[in-house]
Amino acid sequence: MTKNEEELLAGLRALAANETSVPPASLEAALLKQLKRKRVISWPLAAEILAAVAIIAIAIHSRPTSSAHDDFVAVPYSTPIGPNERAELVRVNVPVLALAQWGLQVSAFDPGQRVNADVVIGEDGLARAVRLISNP
Amino acid sequence: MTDPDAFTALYRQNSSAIYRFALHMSGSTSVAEEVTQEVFLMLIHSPKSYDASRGEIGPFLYGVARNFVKRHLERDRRQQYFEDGEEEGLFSVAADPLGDLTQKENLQALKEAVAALPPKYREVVVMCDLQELSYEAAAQAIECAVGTVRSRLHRARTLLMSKMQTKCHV
Repeated sequence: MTKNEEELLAGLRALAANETSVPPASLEAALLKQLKRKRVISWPLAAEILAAVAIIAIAIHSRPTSSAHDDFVAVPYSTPIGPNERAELVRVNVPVLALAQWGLQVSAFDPGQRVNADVVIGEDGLARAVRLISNP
Repeated sequence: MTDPDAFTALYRQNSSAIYRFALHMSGSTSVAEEVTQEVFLMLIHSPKSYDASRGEIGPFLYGVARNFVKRHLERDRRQQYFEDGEEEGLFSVAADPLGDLTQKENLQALKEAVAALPPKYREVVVMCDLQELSYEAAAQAIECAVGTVRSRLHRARTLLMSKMQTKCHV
C-alpha cells in the first residue's frame, strides 16, 4: 500500500468517525405505529372472507355487465391462504388496468385512471383477493 | 414482521447505518430519512422478502436501501446510477503526498470528494471504507461478485486520491 493510500484510508476512517448522524427519533415511533396499525386477519376470518369471495366471484361472473364491485374477488391463479397463515388487508390506489388483470370486470373506464381497492395479502406478500372501493 | 419488540431491536441495530449510507449516497438528510423509512416499512409489509438462507439481514437491508437511493437519485435526474463515462473531469494521480486528511478542513474536502464519486464507486467506498462492511457483505448488498467490489473499491480510491491531490494543488 502506498503512502497516499494509507493517508486516504486514514482520512476515510476519520470521516467515518466524524459522521454521527442518526435518523430522527420520531421515525422509530412512526414505524412502530405503522406496525401496530397493520391489520392482521386471523385464519378463521380469512377463511370466511375467501368463502365469501368465492360466492361473490361466481355471482359477479354470472352478471352480464358490471362497473364496480363491493366485495372481494379472488386473484386468478393465486394460492389459497393456508390454515396457519396470516393475511393482511391493505388499502391501495391502483390503475384500473391492474384490477382488470386481477379479474375484476370494470367496463367503460379510462385505462389510465386510478381507483382505491382493498387487497388481501398473504404472508408471502402476494395478493390473494381484491375489493374495489371506488367506482372508476 | 409483527412483533414490536423484535422490530424495535432490529431497527435500533441497523437504522443508523442505513441512514448514514443513504446520507452519504444522496447528500440529503431528507432523502436519508425517507430511505430509512422505506426500508423498514418494506420489512413491516413484506417480511417474506428477506430470506435468511441467502445471508445476514444487514447486507439485505443495505441492498434494499441501495435500491431506494437509486430510485431517489434517478427521480431527481441528478445522476444516472450505472451509466458509463462518468469519470469525465477527473485528473490523473500526482506523485505528491495528500497531506493530513484527518485535519478538519481536509475532512470536509474528502467528504465532498466522496460525494462527487460516480454512484457505483461511491457505494463501495461508503459500504467498505466508511461503514466497514466486509467485501462479502458489500457484494451481497450490491448483488455482484466479491471481485467486482474489490476492483470498484480500488478504482474509487484511485479517483479519490486524484481528486484530493487536485484540491491540494489548487
